[in-house]
Amino acid sequence: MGFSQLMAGFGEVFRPEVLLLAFLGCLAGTMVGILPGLGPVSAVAILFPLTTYLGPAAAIVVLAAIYYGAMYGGSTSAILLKIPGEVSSLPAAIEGYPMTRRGRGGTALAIAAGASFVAGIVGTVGIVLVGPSLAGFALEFGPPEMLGLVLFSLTAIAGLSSGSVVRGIGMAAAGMLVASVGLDLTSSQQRMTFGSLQLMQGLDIVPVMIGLFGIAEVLRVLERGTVDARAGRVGGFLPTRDELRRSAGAAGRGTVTGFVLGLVPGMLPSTTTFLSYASERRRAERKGNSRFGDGAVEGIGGPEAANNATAMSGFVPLFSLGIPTGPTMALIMAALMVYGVVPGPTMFTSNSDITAAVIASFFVANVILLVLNLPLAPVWARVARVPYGLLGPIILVCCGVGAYTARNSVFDVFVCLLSGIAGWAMSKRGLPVAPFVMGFILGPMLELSLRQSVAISPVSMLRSPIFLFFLAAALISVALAYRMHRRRQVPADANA
Amino acid sequence: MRRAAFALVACLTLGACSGTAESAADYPSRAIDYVVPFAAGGSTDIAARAAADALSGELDVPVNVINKPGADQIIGTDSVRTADPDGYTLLADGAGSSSIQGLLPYVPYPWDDRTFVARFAQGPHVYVVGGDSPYRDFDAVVAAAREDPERFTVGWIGGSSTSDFATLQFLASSGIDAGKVRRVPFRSSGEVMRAVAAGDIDFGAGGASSAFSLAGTGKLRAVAVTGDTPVDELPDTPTTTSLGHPELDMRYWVGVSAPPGLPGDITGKLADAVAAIAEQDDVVARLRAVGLEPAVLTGEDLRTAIGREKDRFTTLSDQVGVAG
Repeated sequence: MGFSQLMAGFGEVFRPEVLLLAFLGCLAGTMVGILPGLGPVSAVAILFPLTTYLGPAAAIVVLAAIYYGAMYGGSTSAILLKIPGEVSSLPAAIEGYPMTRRGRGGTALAIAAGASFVAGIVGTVGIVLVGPSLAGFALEFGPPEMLGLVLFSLTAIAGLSSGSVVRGIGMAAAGMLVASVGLDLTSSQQRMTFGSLQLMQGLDIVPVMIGLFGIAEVLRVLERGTVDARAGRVGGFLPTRDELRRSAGAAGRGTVTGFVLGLVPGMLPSTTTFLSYASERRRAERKGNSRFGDGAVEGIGGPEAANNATAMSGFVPLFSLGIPTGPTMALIMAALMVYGVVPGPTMFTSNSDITAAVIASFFVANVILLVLNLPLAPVWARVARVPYGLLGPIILVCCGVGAYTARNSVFDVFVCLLSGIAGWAMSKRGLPVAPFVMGFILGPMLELSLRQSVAISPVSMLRSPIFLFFLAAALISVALAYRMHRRRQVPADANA
Repeated sequence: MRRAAFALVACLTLGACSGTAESAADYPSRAIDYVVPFAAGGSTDIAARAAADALSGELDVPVNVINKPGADQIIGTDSVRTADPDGYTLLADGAGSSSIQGLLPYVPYPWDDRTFVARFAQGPHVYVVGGDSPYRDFDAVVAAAREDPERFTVGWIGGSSTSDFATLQFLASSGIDAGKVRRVPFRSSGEVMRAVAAGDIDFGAGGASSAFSLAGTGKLRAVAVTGDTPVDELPDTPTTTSLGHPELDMRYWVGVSAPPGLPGDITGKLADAVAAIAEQDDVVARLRAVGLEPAVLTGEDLRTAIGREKDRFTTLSDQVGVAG
């Protein structure tokens, strides 16, 4: 794609009606995402049917705007209320919420918005500059390579679990076990379904996570009876110089790793945000000045940037090879195909006008979102002042709606409620919830890539340098975690 | 208060009565739910949305697409099966939610327990090999698979999709022992296409549209589409009929089904509406974009065709066992 084409794309986007659509998409996405319990995947799925009435370029512009908007909005409710709508905003909930309780919610929101903006812009430039040449990465990553990456990601959980490594691993194993409920993919054996039709469809991560965090938080507030600092002042949204420095570095690292890993099919923002969170946490602990678990700005900036960068780079394999890296990309691919635009290299040749417009719209959407969110940060932050007698029930209803919309299933609402009680019980016993969620996500990926690798050839792993690289990295990561634990540098906290 | 409650009960009762006693002349008088037993974005989902938009215009009520994925389409299918047979809850039916379910031991209801209203679209499958693979064409793949079936790797989506049966049909017609080839599990035909293009596996099958993108890059070689009609988006790919294998005719279809016991006049009215929209230009365009063609079949012919399809699947799976 040449420079002139891209400029033509900007010309296309700067037409009033397209700008208006991008703005409305951002607004709608933010509004849906900000509802506790609703995140990007729900937002795109809910609003997807509406976009089929628009032309191809406009539909993608709106879908992308909704997607980004919901990610911004999802971080907002995670930070202010500790109710993530999506796994990828979990780090924002873990680190941002303590800031809210200290009356610095506005700053947390500003850092999240700033990091997302930087990653979005860098990611857009990345798509244009290096995108086409990196597209082949999606084909390099077969089952053995995926297996290596998942194994490495699992060891990063050791960095997520505070207090005890054993507890973290135990919770990750529990997450894997719960995720395996349902029909086995290859043999169609039923696993732990107890003859129930509803359990046969397995458990979806969205209702489980909303329950574990959102509903559990409501239960904890009820139990405490008071809402401590919540009713206090919200504070400005300007970070201190030190906070700016620490979060900017984290955002830079998160952008790069998020973008590169986002090129891999199956690598969802949820995984890359956690990897960023784990690595930032470990980095801070090595330096011995970790505030993680109690409002570390690196834990907001890094993961938020990784989240957005992954979302951007997912467009690279989609546009150049027609390979969707996750459910949201699959929806966008469907929206394109409805108009007879087949995602693939032709998007950069015969459909380059659409592609240029879409890429330009990413730029515009990120600017719109920053303009929309930075000034609004203090406004949103005031949500935390709403009396909990009013806010609590609203949160519960939204969580229920979020759980339902994941699969249009009433069963999932009950799953969400039960998960809420489980999450509350876990925090009572000091069991870390984040490793459970990671186990839940990575478990099925581990199983599938292992079975695929073995089915292709039992020794296929040994022939893959990428697998061996990740295996070595995983071993080093475990060794480091063990050493750090022995030195007792890891502060105990029950928040993660 | 009591009066209000009485009024409410009266309304509900009347509503229920008018619901059951509603004649085809009044149908439909309110919004229809059209349940897709897959997540949004697949070719069945896209076809269902195209049909829903057009049906909404034809019947003059909203037709809402509702995605209920999970458990090999059992969840979505069962939610329609147990709904009231009043024509306001319909299923975006297909082989994966009907005939194939007849082979799955864990499906908790009789597979054909429903009113088949109409089929409106049908599409071929595509057989693919990697762009860099040594197999240049259909015959070369067959020869390689015959020679050393134990090292021949094929994509497999759990035995609950027509793509898997297209693979089985390929193996059976080539005289390859399907029990010997290595079946590598994937979650969707899109993932199979990626794996074939990357050279992770030797061979795959999927709905034609799943190969559109990668075939355009040259990383994936579509060696044949099933049936006798070429697909526009795969211009250089021969049909199985033109290759001398008319028996490789596995297709997938999309239709409208309703709970068992849907009154005959409503069934007829719905079937007429579906038949009318299937040929509309914008519907045809949206179907073609995902590799489907309008193919209307209704009434007893439809039930017979689906029954025959189930028998063919049974024969194929008896040779290898679907699961495993």
